[in-house]
Amino acid sequence: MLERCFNPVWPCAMVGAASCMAGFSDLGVIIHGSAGCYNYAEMAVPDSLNCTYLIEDEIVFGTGNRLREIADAVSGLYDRIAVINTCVPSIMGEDIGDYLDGYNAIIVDLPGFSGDFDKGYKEALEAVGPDIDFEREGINIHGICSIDPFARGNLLEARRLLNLAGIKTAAIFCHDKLDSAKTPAEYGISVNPDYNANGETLPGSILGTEKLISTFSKVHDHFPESDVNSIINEAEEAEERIIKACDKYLRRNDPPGVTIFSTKAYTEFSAGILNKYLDADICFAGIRNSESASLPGITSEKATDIRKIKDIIACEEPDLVLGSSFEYAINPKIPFICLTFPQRSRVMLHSKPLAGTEGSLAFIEDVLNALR
Amino acid sequence: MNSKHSHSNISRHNGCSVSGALSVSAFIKDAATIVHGPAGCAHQASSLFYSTMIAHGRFEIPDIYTSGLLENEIIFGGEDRLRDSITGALSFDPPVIFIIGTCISETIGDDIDSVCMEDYGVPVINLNTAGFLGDSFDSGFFNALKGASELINSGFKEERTLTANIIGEKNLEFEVEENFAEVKRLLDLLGIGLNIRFVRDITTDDIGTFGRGSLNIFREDLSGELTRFFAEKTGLPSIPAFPSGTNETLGFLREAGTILSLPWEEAVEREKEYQRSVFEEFSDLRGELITFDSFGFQDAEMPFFIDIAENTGIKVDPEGTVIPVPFTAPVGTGGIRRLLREWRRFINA
Repeated sequence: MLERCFNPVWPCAMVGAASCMAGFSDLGVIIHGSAGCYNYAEMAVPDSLNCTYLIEDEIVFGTGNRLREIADAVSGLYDRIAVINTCVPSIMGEDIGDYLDGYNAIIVDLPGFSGDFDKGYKEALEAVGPDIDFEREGINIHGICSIDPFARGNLLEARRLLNLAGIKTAAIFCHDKLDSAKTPAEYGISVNPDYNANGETLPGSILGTEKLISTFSKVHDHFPESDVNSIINEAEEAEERIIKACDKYLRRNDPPGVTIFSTKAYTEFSAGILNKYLDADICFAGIRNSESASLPGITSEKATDIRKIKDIIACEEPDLVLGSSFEYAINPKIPFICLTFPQRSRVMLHSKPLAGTEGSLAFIEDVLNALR
Repeated sequence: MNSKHSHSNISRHNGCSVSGALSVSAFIKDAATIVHGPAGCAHQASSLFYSTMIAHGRFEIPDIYTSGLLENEIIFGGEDRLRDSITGALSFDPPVIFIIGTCISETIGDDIDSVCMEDYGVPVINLNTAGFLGDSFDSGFFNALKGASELINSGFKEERTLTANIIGEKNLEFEVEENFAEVKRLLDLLGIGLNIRFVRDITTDDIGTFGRGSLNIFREDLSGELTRFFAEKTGLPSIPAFPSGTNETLGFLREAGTILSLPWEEAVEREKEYQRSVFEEFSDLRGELITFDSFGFQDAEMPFFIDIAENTGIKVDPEGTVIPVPFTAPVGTGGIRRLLREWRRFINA
């Protein structure tokens, strides 16, 4: 059966691959396709991208010369190049590996019709091929996905926490040099488990104070010389501040009804924290990148269709909407908090985290201010 | 390196016809548009489209349907998927459905015309786009205007009124409403009313009234393609572009008046007086030196800029304050006023 889809709100696999690859600063990323595909990717992905800007002649006579022309230019600027194939050249069936013989290029065939952003991101990461270096010191940071509005804030927060614990940062997925990402350390913490390099990371996630405390307790098991007490104390203090602020809100107000539209891990995090501290009624959780979320007692479904999202918001009449600027645009009168890409309805300049203690504090701060 | 600016062959940078066509079809409020391609194409075009709208302070999101082609359709063809999508869109009772082809549907050879010709009970119109294959943003825009014109009624001659049809406004242009307001102000000076904005925030029924207008005014038709097409289709006289600069603005009044056999002399005199008052408002800029920065791809040699500078008493000199050339020339005398405010900010900065 045809999946109904109006204004799909989540990008295609090519953009996911571009977001992943462009996070490696010494890797020149080439979108092998037309200006239309590239222009969107360039708008969505904050890191540098390049393009072959294919035209019809090359579709008829072959794209090899054009691809080599751009590969030559980009190779002069980066240690290595990656080429991401788009729909039309992928359908043409050319062997672009053959065209790029001698360029030591990473080739990723992830045209838009092959799937969504997450598929592209994950398969591109597999193409990088991280192989654990058991001798490497430190802990990796996972889940830095460049289109995530919290990516930069999460990275700063994860680094701050590792510094506080006296542990070196090892590989950062995906905001690093390529060689560093290819040889990660054994352990990792994640700021956004949807975008981990290799599925589950050990010791785990730092999304939310509860998981943060649990993860850093485990960190101590593997790094007995680390100082995790200061982090755990900080997280417990943060939780006290959250409880106090939320209790104050609940003395005057009923718990809010909330609809959440985001990626799976962020949806689970926000539903959990809203439920725990504000006794919020999570009317609906719409997931961008999964068929459902692990949220007992809460209706959760994949929601990438603007008409479906409109219907849900109209039906549930929430007090608060969490999502992207698509959700904001549906009814700008409903209090709104940014939780996922894209964010175009408001200016975001500073590096706001969602992970770590600062992330939980910032999130609750936004919620309470929005509900005022 | 961002190779976007590194190639001399700018035909590579003319954008995607899907976005161009959507910038027309999505402004027919009750129509449904299906982008026949992978969901990513619809997302990318609608995301670009919508973020532009947000920047303009508009929050409504038009419904843009996708046929969501996947690997299976790439191999076996996407026509059945398009039929299913049309059936799905029909469940929302649109009076018309527009089909926007992509480079994918073009490459796999889907016969969109044949699918559109089947009986669905409402018009299903192929806007004849193919992503970047032989196409550009502009060609998508033009083809969509032509496609939407299939909804224009014929046989309307007895209903004709002293009004104008505005055709081909650039819906993604930041100053679209200001430009329209300026042209409407000029038409008011002549006593000419507005019939339809084809296509901006109208319904399918509105298009049926196109023929009540007596004059077609195009936003910008440099090639003459649209002018010829609509002249043949409607038999109406045309003005090919919104006016830019003092002389063109006065010329616009003369031309519209002459075409519709209206006295234009008083309107021209009033506009000249208004232009003098605008330049007087910026008399503090007399004697200032400016030069233009075209960013390498805009036309800084337009007589329009020299005309404004001379009328204001500003001198164009390579040593002067660098003024960026706007993407599109401001419309009418009101546009000159906004432009001069910007120049003043640069000069005084």
